[in-house]
Amino acid sequence: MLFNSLDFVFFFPAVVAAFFALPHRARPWLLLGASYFFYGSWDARYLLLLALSTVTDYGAGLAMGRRRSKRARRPWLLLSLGVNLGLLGAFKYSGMFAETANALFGWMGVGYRAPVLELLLPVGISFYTFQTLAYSIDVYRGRQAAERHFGLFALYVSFFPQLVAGPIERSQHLLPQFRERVGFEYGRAVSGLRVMLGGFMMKLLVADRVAPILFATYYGPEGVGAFYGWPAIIATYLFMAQFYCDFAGYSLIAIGAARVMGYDLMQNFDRPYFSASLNEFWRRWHISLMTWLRDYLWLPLNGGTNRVSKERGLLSLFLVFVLSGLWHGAAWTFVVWGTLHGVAIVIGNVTRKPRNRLWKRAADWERGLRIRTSGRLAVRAAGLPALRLPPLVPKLQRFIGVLVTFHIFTYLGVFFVAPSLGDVWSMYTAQFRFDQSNLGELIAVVGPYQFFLSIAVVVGLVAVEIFQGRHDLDPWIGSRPWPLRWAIYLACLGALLLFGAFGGQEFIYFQF
Amino acid sequence: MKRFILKGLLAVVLIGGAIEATARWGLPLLFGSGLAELEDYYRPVRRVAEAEPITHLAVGSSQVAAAIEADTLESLLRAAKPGQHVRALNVGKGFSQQVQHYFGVRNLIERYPEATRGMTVFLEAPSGVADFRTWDDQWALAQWPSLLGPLLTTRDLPRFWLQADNEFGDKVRATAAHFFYTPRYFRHLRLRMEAAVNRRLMPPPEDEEEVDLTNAGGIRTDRAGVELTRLEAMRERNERWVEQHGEGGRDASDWEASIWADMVRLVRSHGGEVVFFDMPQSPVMQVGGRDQVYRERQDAFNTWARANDLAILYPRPFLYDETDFPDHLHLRKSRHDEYTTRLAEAYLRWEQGEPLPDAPPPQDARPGTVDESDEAQ
Repeated sequence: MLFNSLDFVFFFPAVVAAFFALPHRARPWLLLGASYFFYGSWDARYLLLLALSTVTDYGAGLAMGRRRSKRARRPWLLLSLGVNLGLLGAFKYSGMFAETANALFGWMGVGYRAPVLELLLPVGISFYTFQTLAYSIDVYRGRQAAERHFGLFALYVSFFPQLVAGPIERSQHLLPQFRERVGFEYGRAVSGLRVMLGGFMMKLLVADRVAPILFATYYGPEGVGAFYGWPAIIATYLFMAQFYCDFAGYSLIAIGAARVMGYDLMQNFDRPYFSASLNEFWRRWHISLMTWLRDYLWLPLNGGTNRVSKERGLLSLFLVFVLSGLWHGAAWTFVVWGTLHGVAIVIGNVTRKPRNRLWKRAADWERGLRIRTSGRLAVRAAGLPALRLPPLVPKLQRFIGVLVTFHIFTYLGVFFVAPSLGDVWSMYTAQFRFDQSNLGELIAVVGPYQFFLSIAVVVGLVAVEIFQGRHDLDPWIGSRPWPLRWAIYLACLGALLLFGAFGGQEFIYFQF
Repeated sequence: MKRFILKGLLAVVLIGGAIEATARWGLPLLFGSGLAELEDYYRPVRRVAEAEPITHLAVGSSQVAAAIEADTLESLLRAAKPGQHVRALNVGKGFSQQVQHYFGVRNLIERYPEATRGMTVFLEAPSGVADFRTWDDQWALAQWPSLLGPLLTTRDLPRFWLQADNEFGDKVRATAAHFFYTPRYFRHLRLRMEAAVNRRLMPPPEDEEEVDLTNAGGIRTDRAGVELTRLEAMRERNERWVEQHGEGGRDASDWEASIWADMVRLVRSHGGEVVFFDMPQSPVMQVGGRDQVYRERQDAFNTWARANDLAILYPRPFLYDETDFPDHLHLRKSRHDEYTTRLAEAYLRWEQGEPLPDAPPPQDARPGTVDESDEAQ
């Protein structure tokens, strides 16, 4: 079931109404049933995988909980890792590796061909396997008590708002919430609905609205590279808007839906395109995955501590990004995407000190200039009042950092969107063929309405993101007087209904 | 919780009510009554039935809308039957389904029994075989489910929800369109807005040749629309091929359980008659040509038609090739008069008692084109 489907419009209120109508003890079972229905409505066969993952980790958790030493727990952890990573490997990566092996065999002249399993990728498998793995590892480490209530544990693995595309929750955060008695809270429910509305705006008004331009440019009948110059550049930037709004929109709907029922899910995006470095960017983009990778991959690679040599820290950081690329998709384009991000992060870290020294020198120079001119500009001489300006260099440093970070992410994003590695080069070179720019053709293909509306909604998105940097939108809207509040709601609904795209496109992250 | 529910309901009622009132009374003022007829496509027929009896009614897809020129049919029949009242109409509609036409005719008969008594209903049978559809199939196409809404009556709703092979979302949309005007008009409003902006920002070149197509039944006559229809035609063709030739194929033998069988019973019970007519179809759309599957479907259809004494008219001679279908689906406008004339002649011959052929009679093909007489192979 998609969040942006009519099914969900009926499903969600029905679940919420039943949730608050039922006594506390029955609620986990209701949510579990609803979550399995939500997932099974896509393909009921894959409920077996979800159930297998759940039963394995529940059993492994109980077994580990009964053992004191890590050594005694280890076999159970290995069982959990084996089953979950085995499922992920079989259903997500086996095709990619078999095809690669076959290509290599062909290149080496070996007659053997590895069988390629034609399996449909189960929706959200990367998310729920990581979530349940986090539980097993935490029980192994002794940071989480084994959950005895099977229903609560199964709900933790399958909680429908975040089941198929995150945020990837931690057991310490979500499980205790399922135990708490939750009463209906008016303010919280309204806030949840507001957050959901924001998510739908991002998904339907921006991500899906922009998508046809990307499809026409990258996946149209003429193929990659058919549009060059401005269309290729515009499509590259629009992809950033689509990528962000699709995923962040989904996360917002998930967070809002959970909030209506009284549960808090972790924030997954924090205006990432306003990050001044790649380090900062990855702290603000897909936060739940990056913190997962930090806690369950980067730290173990560093021997469980962050007090390691700089070289080792950077090497493990690089490996984390390579694997994060693989997590995003079973194709070499994703691996290269992750690898290049790893390289960029390492370069960023290595050059941070000299860069900071340069900026500090510039800031010192500016400060000296201010002292010499008493912080006032020469306009005072003309009899005008003194004009005090804030220090410019730190602002300039941040501005340039944001610009560079955004463009690194944008242009590495070509690997993300390219159908194959071979197409990446065509997509890059297409951007520099200004002499033959065929923007008019692209506008003709998608229609001026679609084209200019896409640009307009992206401009609107940037404005809202800038505004959100100063005010947290949800409480800000909630604290406005009711006429203004309702005017905002109506404007959002009107914009959604009139300009939203209702093609029922699946969220990008469902394929991961 | 009570406060939340009450406020929520109040908001839905107030906002929804305002939007619905605008759709119901405001938009027709703005766009005229034509807007209502885009979705409630039997409305013009009802308007005629209020004034005079309807004698001949062609129903079906947009291909019917493109092939039959109702005015031509009416004047030819009137000329052949001097002194008799003749009123012929065509309600071919793009994205419509057989169930919808059954309901359209049923509603018409129930509401205007006198004006529809003895009416002849024309049903399409492309290449001599009608599409086999039962009540267990889709009642509305996913592309435009709201078309079903105005044709449903409240008593049809339980059956629709229990029996129709439609997605949940499509059932919601069709049901909503039954009760409210907003779901019917909203899409048109968005499309009109888009078309107006596109026309303003990118007007078609003045020397652009007009596409030789009628705009009846919702057929698009602009260049972009023709391109889209071509894609849609290919999709439909592939779907049909899979339906007919795919694993296991579709059992299309029990015609007594079909919707058209119910249509025959309905019309005959009201003193009328149903005739099928071989509708011209682009060679591109002739799924599987004249293969074994086609022959089996044709045999089943012919057997049922013979058993029920139903006429299958073959308007001949009418030569055509793919150039006569600018968008792969619809007969060009410059040829629909000719086709309608052949159809009227075939109908009149049948009325006069001339025996009908068992299968499409062979005819000469245009040089270098697909031959209608291929069925002999």
